[in-house]
Amino acid sequence: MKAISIAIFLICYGFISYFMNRQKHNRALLCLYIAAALLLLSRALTFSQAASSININVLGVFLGSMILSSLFIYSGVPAYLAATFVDKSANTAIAMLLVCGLSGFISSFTENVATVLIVAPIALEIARHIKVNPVPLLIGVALAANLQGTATMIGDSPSIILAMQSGMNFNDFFWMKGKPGIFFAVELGAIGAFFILWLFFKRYTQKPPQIEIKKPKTWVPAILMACMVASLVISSFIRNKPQYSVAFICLAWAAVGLIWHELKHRESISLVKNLDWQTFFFLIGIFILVGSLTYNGVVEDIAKYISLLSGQNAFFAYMLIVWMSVLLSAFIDNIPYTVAMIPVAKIVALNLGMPMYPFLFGLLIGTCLGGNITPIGASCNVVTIGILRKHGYQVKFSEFVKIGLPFTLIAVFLGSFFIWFIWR
Amino acid sequence: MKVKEIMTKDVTSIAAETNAKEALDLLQKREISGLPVMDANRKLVGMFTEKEVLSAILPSYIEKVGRFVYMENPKAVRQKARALSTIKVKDIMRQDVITVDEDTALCEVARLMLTQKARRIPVLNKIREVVGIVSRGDILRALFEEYSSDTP
Amino acid sequence: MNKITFKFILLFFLVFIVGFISHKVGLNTQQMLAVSIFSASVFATLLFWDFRVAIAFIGIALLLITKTVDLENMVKFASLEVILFLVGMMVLVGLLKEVGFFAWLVTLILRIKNLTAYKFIFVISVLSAGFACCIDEVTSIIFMTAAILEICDYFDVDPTPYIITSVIATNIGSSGTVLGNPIGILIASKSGLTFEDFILKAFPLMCIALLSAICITMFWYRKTIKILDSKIKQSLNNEILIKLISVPPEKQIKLVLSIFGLTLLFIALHHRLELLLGLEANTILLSVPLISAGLVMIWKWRKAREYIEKDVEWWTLLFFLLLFAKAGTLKYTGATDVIAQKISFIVKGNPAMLLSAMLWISALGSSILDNVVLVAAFIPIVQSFKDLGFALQPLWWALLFGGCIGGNITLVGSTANIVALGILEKERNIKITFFRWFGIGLVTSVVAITIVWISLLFLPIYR
Repeated sequence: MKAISIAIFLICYGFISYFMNRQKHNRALLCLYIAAALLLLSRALTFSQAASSININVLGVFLGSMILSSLFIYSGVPAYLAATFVDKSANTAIAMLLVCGLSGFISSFTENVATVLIVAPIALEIARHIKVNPVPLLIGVALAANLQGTATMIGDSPSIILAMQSGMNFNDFFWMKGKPGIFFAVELGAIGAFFILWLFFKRYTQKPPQIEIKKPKTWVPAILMACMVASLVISSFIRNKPQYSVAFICLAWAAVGLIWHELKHRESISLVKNLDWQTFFFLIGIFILVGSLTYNGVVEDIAKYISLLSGQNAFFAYMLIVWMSVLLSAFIDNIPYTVAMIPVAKIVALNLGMPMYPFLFGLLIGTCLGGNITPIGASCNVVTIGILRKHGYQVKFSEFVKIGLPFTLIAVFLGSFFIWFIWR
Repeated sequence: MKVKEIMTKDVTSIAAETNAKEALDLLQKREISGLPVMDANRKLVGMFTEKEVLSAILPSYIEKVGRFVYMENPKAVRQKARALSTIKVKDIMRQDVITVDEDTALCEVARLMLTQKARRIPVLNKIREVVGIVSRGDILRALFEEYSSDTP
Repeated sequence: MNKITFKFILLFFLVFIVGFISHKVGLNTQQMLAVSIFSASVFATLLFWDFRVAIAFIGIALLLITKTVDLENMVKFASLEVILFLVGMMVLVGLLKEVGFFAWLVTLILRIKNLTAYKFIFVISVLSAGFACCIDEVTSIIFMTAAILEICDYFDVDPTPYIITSVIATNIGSSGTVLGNPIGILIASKSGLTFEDFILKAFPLMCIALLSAICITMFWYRKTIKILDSKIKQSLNNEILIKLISVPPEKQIKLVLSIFGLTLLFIALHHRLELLLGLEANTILLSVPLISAGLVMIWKWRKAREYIEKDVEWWTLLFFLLLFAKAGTLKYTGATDVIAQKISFIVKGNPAMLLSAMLWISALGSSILDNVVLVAAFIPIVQSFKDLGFALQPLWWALLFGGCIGGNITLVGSTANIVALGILEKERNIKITFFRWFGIGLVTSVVAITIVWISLLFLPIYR
């Protein structure tokens, strides 16, 4: 059984990575579900085990925030914000940094890929006006999105997954059990990382171009989004709330948004059709696949191995998890990696007799930030490269790494040390 | 001998967006039974023949109900014939077309014509552009010329 | 996400739900696998119609590999005898087609004295049902649809009402005898019911149901029928001889029809002959078509190969073969026993309730799934009721009528519907919407099934 699930997992994983790198998402999805079907057929996983592996909270939060962010983009608020920033900045370098900053800000409550899709057009506009290579700027946008997406619970899928699998709520990312949370770790890393970006941008000293500031169509989605965030914050203070309350909050606000959209514009159905269903079903499939590893004890084995390597040295174990995640997530997609490794981190912590939080946070920092090193390390990087390619700019692997590597190294160093010292 | 030596090089073709009735008129004016359908880059997209037109105007079930004999022309067939001027070649043409390379041997072309029941075969060059067309008659003529020139 | 990926994921989740429920219901591993793979095949035929044979192939292989069924039993469940029966009958139909039966049919309708539109609709209903009684539904519906299209074309009227009527009649008619649809022969071979049983018990009921449907359609379409009526009177007044299609040589047709008739006769007498000759049940039933087909192929030896290759629907037969094998596995693993137990529990052991449940559930199921698929799936369940002490005969009739008439409820309820509407769309560019069909489909079905229901419950012949 164990052998079968490992074999199916690895083969499936190989195919998925291959297909996703070539943007053939449909085939990746098919592989995933064929693998899931095989697991069920070979009885490596039973139906009830599979059913319980699917994390409803993650799916609910994902679906809810996806709907709201779709509406948010539709409302034109992000484009408005970006254009305003650019208008108000002294020189282009600052404008570029601001755009990256905006990308980060939006990414802290919008999924990374969506963030990139919002901010990229503005970044391209700026680059076109001052007649420079848009590649560094867009890479900066992607990196910032990845970075800040880690900072809040709803910023990106791995964060959602982490929160739901470890019982954390929205506030815990900021302040947990009396100590500053992941958010601050990420911001510390961000300071260092933005410094790197400035080094790349500082040569652009001209005045920023005039970009047309389009007034947003409506502020309603932005308000709804704020309400959702507020309810998440409030709910984190309530103890003993029902298990699926977080998913419920996100879905409820999303439903409000959809009803508003349908009444005002009658376009809800097309909005729903255009949501990222691929990622949604991808999440479900990955849960099943990783579930089979967990139920067959493979995860325990990996955790045992890590514990063995690090002995009683908690710091070593911590660093091992962080940097292993950085390395692996540079080449493997974040979501399946996170889903697979969370149980491992928990067990390692257990074996060392330590609380799980430092290890989980370290995992998150390593995974999400590590995805910034290469163009294939994170989906929003892949999307950015695609956008650039559509506009005629081929980005070389090395070009991306030149910016991504220092950005990541500084961010991870600062972030992981912060976590360790605050949380050990 | 290779097919490129006997093929008709000046190939009349029709565009997929052409009106089907006009295409049929072209066939009848030229007194040929079929024409290849090409796109702007001379790439083959289909074949428009008299057989396809017949198929389009007669009911589809005639092959499935066995033998019978029409004594009159059903109104439906007349209507479909009239409606031919409202549809395009791409709605009628056959998309699955047998083609050959410029350097194909004559006998191979003949073999294809027999096994695939094709009366004419378009000839493509290395970059899949249509450079000629060869008909059954052309092949037969060429084969018999070749054989008659052999000394017994 | 493209359509194919979406359908595949949908398929995955549908099967997952089935598997999950079967686990909750208490089936063991083998049973769950059998149910899951069977339902995967069934859902796959819904979602991926063109790939149904491919999916059937893979499904059966999976059942073998997972040791849910062994080779010997798989072959047994595949019911080769039923398949060969169908092959034999299809050869005979091929012969009929070749001698111009279609033409004879059309001219027969047009030669009716004092033809009126009401007579027309009555005649096509009766003919459709009659054919469905004798030959497979796809061939019979193609014949009738083509005939209706030609005739309606001649009179320049909308053929839609008549085609819908014909389809409804076909589905009802296929419950009348052992022949026709694979359904009849399937139930006969698995239940031990004979041709005589069908003639005595199923046929009359089918006729009454048919009559009710004819009345309803005549009322429903009364407006369009009036139009046809006036058109017929017009052409008769102008004394235009109705000569759309030439009449084929009558001598040959009469000969072939008598061969066909003789075959039917022997099939009808199979039970008596089996008793007389001391043969196993259904031996003659299944041998007669083979003998007939064999003799025909000797007579027309030049065309024999063509009959086998072109007129026998191998694609469909293969699908059935594998479907039967998979359904048999359901019984073999005991999954249907468990399901039967649960159902018996729900109906509190009351035979009348069970009968009603069987009738309506199979009708409902048949409205979504193809008739044959549904019947193949439910046969093992009915067989399982035997061990629970229920009388099986009424249940078989319930399944027969529910499965056949239920196919009338929706557009997709039966292959006949799909084929007929496909031809209609292709030839006349007329698209029937789901709800247009659902209207008349639901009314005729509910009335017909209610008639059957009351008869099965209260008439002593069905106890």
